[in-house]
Amino acid sequence: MNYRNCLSGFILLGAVLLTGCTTVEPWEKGVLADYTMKPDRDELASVMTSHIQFSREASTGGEGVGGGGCGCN
Amino acid sequence: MNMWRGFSVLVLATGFLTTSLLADWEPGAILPDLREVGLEGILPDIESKVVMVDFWASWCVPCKATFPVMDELYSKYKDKGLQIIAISVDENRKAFDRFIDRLQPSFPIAYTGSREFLDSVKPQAMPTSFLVDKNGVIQFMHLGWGGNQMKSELEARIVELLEE
Repeated sequence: MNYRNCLSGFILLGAVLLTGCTTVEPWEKGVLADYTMKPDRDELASVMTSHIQFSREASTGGEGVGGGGCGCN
Repeated sequence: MNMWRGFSVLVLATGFLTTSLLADWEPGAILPDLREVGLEGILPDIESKVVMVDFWASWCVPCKATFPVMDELYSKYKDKGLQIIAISVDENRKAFDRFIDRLQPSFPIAYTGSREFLDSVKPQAMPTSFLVDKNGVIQFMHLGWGGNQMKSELEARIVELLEE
């Protein structure tokens, strides 16, 4: 009996808490579509990050053969 | 125990119903009176006209691509009874104004700041356009933008509705 009461309580609590979750509707994506939300908006930073990735992860096969890891190629 | 169970079912049912019953804009439904939903802008007379109601936003790249097409369709069919109304869903009014200043569309533009209105329309994608026949019944709904193929499809449906 107590177990069932607890279970019902948890289900109800879950249902109430789930109302706090929301879906971003298609017409509400203005902020997400903003330029500042782009992860690669800075071209120079993207190139540098890519170069570091290329150099450091070459031994794991990331982005092809990239030398010995010195980043000097 | 029964009371708990009944209450839980009621909470869940209310959640499902509020999300499913709010979509008023779908094929087969009567187009609501746009003058009564709090739109900003000059709304044309749409009585006995085929109407295309387009929902767009300045931040939506595919929406921007539809504007020249809508301009073309409007100039081609407005004398035959087509009316296009493009409703912006922008939250940023300045972005909306800038967009319109830049594109200068030939068809009427309206702006809605009403979330309640959009909750009733529930555009499923950006852009979403509704084609309404001369009797005010929503006949087709177009989601997104698919280039020339979609333009041809849209035009064919407009012609079909104009000939009815």
